[in-house]
Amino acid sequence: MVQNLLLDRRCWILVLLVTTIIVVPFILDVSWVLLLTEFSIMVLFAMAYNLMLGITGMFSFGHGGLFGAGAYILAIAMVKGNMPMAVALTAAPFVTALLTLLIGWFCIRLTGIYFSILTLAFGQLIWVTIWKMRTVTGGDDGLAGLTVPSFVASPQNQYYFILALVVLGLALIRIVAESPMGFTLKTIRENEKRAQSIGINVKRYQLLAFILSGFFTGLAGALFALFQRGAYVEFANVSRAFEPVFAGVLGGMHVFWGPAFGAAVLLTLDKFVGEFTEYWPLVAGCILILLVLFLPDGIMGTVHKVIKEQSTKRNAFTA
Amino acid sequence: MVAAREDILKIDSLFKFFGKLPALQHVSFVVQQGSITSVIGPNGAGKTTLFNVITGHLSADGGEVIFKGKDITNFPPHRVNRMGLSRSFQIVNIFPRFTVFENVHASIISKMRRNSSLTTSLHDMGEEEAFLILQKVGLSAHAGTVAGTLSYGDQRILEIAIALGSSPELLLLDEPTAGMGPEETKSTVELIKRLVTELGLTVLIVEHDMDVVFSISETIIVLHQGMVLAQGEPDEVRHNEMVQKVYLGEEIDHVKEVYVPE
Repeated sequence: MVQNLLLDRRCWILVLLVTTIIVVPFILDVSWVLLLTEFSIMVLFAMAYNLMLGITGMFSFGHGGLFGAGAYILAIAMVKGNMPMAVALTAAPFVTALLTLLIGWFCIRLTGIYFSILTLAFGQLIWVTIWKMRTVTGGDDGLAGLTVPSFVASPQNQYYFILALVVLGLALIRIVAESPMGFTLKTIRENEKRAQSIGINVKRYQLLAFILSGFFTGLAGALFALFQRGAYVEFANVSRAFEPVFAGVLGGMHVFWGPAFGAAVLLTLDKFVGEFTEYWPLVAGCILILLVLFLPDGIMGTVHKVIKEQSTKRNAFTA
Repeated sequence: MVAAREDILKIDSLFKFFGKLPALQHVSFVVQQGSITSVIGPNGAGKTTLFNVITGHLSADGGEVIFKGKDITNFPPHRVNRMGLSRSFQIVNIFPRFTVFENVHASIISKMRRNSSLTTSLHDMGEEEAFLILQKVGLSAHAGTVAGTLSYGDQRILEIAIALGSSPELLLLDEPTAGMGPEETKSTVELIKRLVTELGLTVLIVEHDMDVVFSISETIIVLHQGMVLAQGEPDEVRHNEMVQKVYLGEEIDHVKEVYVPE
């Protein structure tokens, strides 16, 4: 009974969400439509990152670089190479995944903080490369003047187009997370040494998680370049590497939709607190401190926990 | 007893150094199929080091580990496990935020080599087997409990259950009864005996509790300062002068030391 009710409620939430998403461009101002487009890209970025942090338990600081790489691959292909959008958009995640394979091959040899520092170094390497290779990347001028096909030119159409790809990306991430492979990655997160002892080739699966995460991060970066009609060196900033970390901590990295929720909250705060004060990073810092101290499971993680506890209590009463 | 059983594990002149300190020297012994063999020795004798070298958590500096006729020396831990050699750990080493059921299920998924599967549902694979194992070790009532919240004794049993998920031929148990009360120890000993008779497992145990060792083992190997001091049937070992002098005598003199967990 309870199970059915819960399932129904979930169903309703989904229907409500989908309807809202479809209707939004008809009722809201253009600035809102653009904002929501950006939201969706950042949600994908946060969820891609969480394949590593929340699911496999690997702390990367290099995803700013990978996000930038995805953006620049698309921009270079379209601006310099005059390739069609479809080709550039397909190439971006795959090439980023290849780049991740290269980086990951070195990084997974290290564990813990050493792993993280090496990912940071590679992230910075990408950033520096973008900055210095003027002939290809435009250096600090960036690559502007990206023209998109007319069917995605209007903010409303762009919104639907980008959202569709984000949803596709999220669906694929969901499939990975719920599959036996996802379970294996979580097993590694829980206890690396023990995972080895039950026959799991830990390094191999860590590399796999890294590559998958790089793939979807590359897609998010490419969509962002599309959205901004160009790629700029700050896309690969080290500060960008912390956005999905923050989203994960805020929303709850061990609940599937936690980082998505976290990214949405983060961007909303960024938008509105940013309008009131220049000191938004200060506010963000305070929120992070409070969360780590009082809600270590994140917002959704805590809600999830409370619901679970109550349902076990209820079951205990009926049993 | 069955005559002329095969040697499932053969340790041949194994060496391990930590810097210049020899942790294992010239260690050689065999484990017969279907037997319970115990490794005993005072703290620092090299028992856990021996386990870690056999299972690939540490590399050997010399000698060979032969399992079922195959040289598995210095195989990485996951390959050792794939060969059919599964272990438990001295310090509880489980998946703490998984449920008890998931702990065993993870092990079974790995045994079934479905770790890279994206298309099959997790629920179609090995769930029944996981429940059977939990039933066998007596943890089925706790299947849905988060493993980290189990009592210490139950976590130690879960250790064994995870190892069983790999369907091993040889089970290495590193102090399975460490920290247990007398009742728990007794039931754990019964469990280990049952695993041998019902599943046909071969068991190699590191154990501190002398009562357990002498009641359970067919063969006892005594390690002292990284060397095999004596090996044989319990009676032989009990009456071995060297053993009495070095090990059993020491136990009587330093009763406290024996019960301090490492």
